[in-house]
Amino acid sequence: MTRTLWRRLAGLSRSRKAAVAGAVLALVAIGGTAPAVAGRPDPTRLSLASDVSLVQVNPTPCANQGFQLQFGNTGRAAVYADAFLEVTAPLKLSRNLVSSYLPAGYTLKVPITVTAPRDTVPGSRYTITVRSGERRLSVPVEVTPAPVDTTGNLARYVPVTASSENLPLYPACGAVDGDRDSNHWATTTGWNDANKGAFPDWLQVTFDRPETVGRVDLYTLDSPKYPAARYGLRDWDVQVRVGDSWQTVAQVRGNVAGLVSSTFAPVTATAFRINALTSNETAGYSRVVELEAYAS
Amino acid sequence: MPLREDPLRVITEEDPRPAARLARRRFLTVTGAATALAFATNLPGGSSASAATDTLPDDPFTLGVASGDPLPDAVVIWTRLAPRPYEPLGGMPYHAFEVEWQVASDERFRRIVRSGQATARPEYSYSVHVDVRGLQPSRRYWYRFKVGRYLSPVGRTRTTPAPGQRVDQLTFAVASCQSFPDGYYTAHRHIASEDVDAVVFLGDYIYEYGVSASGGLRNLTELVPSQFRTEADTLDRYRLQYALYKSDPDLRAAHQAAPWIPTWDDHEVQDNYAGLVSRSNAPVEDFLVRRASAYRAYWEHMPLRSPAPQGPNYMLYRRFTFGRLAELNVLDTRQYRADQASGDGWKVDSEERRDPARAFAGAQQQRWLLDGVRTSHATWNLLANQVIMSRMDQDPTAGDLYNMDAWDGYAAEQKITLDGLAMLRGRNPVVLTGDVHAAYALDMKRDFADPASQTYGVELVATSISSGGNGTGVSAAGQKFLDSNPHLKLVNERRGYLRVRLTERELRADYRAVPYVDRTDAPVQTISSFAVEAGNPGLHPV
Repeated sequence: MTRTLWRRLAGLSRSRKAAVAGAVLALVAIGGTAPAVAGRPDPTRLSLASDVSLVQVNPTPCANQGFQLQFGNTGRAAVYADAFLEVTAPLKLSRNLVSSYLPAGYTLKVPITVTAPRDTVPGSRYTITVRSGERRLSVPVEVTPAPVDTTGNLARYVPVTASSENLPLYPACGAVDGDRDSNHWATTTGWNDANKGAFPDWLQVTFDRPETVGRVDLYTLDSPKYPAARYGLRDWDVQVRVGDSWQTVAQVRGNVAGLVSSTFAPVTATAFRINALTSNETAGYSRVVELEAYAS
Repeated sequence: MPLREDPLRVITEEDPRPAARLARRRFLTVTGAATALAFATNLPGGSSASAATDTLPDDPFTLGVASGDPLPDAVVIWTRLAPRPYEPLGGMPYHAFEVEWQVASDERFRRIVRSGQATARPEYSYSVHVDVRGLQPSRRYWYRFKVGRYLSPVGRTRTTPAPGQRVDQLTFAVASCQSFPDGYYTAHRHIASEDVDAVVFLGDYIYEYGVSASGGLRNLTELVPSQFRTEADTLDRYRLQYALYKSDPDLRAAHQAAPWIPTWDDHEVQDNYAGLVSRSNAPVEDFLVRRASAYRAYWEHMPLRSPAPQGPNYMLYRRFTFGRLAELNVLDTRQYRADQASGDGWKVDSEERRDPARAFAGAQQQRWLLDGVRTSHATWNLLANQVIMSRMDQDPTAGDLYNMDAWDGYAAEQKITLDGLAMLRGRNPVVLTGDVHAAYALDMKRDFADPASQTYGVELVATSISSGGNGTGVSAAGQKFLDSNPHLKLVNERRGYLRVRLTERELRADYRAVPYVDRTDAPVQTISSFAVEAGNPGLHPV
């Protein structure tokens, strides 16, 4: 999993090379760690660095962005060491602590993802701080303005959750990433639940504010390699949340197509979800390449 | 994480011999003198114990207590301070804490036989491993810890019989494979209520994978936090995984009720890793860092003796003697093995599979094992083993298909070990195995292809605690095994554990199973039992 995340982050940093002025200078620390091998105490030398000098953050729940923490031991003895990470609120880091065994001369490379809620004020007032022992690394963060969907799809750029996720390749975020292409299956662009043969499963989109919904489009897995009639969702309910209660507004049964568009009387909802009841595969999974919602 | 019903509510017989020589000490007045410090380290800039005035934000005993690796005069008692187990450092301040401990011969701590202080250090995730010495053999003891105003749950443990002692009966629970998102640990609740001398755990205590918010089949309403989505690969992340697994009260109850004798398999580090070789063939330099962090986290969360692993190697294989009745050889078949042959998976025979240069347990462990069984004076010689040791063919036709991750995948060492065990007369070898999420019972044959050939031992495979979900009786794959292996006498793919009772005359194996793990509170039932007569190897259905 880490390797996949790695590759994604590597791709990310390549794609915004303009913003990268080069690796942040490694700082040498003499810090609070334990020697891995008992014996004569040696000063511990640690280094902290980032692969980018500026982390750009797109304030959407599913954005995959961040930096690579390079946590090194420049001393002559192996150590176990801790690095503590913080970021200015309301931003969030995928982890606030990295602890590892670090042999002499070794640098651990750990991907750190950074997310921000959609209403985060854009700008450069944010900083990631990493501390290990006496040493400190600061990485500036720039939050870009939140993306605006121009297609009327209400499911873009809002939080998505699922009954389970088959991680790392099939996250719920893959179902609202704007990629409807089933040929991209198994590359994090679609959702697959984690419990083979167990139903129901659900996939839910929660709006920032109440929205009027009159149509839900579900793209289930459907490619020459994985036709919907064999691998796609067969039966599901479309449900909207009005106040605190869920209402079923459409039912799909016996589906064998890649796209099913469910239309219903428009309703003002705070969330919508599909409740997956069965797949075309015997003892199968729920597979959604893209889930979209529109006013009509 | 509230504990459910206290599994130790049953009052058992009190120790008839008070430890009169040992001064009874009051818990609050014990000082650090004359106590066993778990960590005798000298850390430059490292942690030092705080002033006692530093208060904890909450009860630090959320992960329970445990004991393990019992000896005739000693047992390791364990806890870890983690007031907020899913936060960095388990919610602890970044410095060491003193922890007081007591061991008593009665449940109410009227007769305290040992007590002292240990230091919980951030370098070891605030875990405490006290090797309590000076105990009496074959005795039940109770133990507890205290930090500030917080008192831990009371654990129950037991020392092993004295060397050479005649022992009427021993009971072990044998368990393995407890994937958290695959279901609840109800089987552990039942282990906790069995009166066992020890729990033998054969690996896959954790799985390294990321865990979804709903906790998989557990379908939790209290969601698993976001820091669990990524795979465990660094020390902090492995520690989190243990904290999550120990959030299940039934697992804590099984630790609380009896000493454990644990070993690891692959998932404590990474699925099907082999020695220096990771699943993804990561550079060895990188993988050894991961292995070192994983091994350290394992030690931190198991009731194992100090010292902790320092770096990527740790000697886990070891032996326990239970008087004249039994000896238990705990194996480590992960750390020293060569890469799986033929790219892993189920494969046909090959030169590579039979290559004598490919290590499995490794020459040193191999010799240690066979020498140990040869010189053993015990009636029963048990092996705590990870993957299946006997031949298991998956191809019901004339062809053969072997699991490259099991002993079958390392045919040269498999042959040396099996031949070695077969040649030793009267040792009654019993191989206890995990890994496969199924209950199997196998006769170990001199020639597995010939059902008429000599049987020299038995292999008892315990099913998983939760891995694989609710499970089934016999799957299509299980039927294939039955059709291909005449020495295989049982297949059952429900979740559960194995209970092994030993006397001088007989071994009795009870396969215990629960009907489901996607909900709590499943009942347990014995689905199959076998007897083995001492001196007359082979399984007899009961």
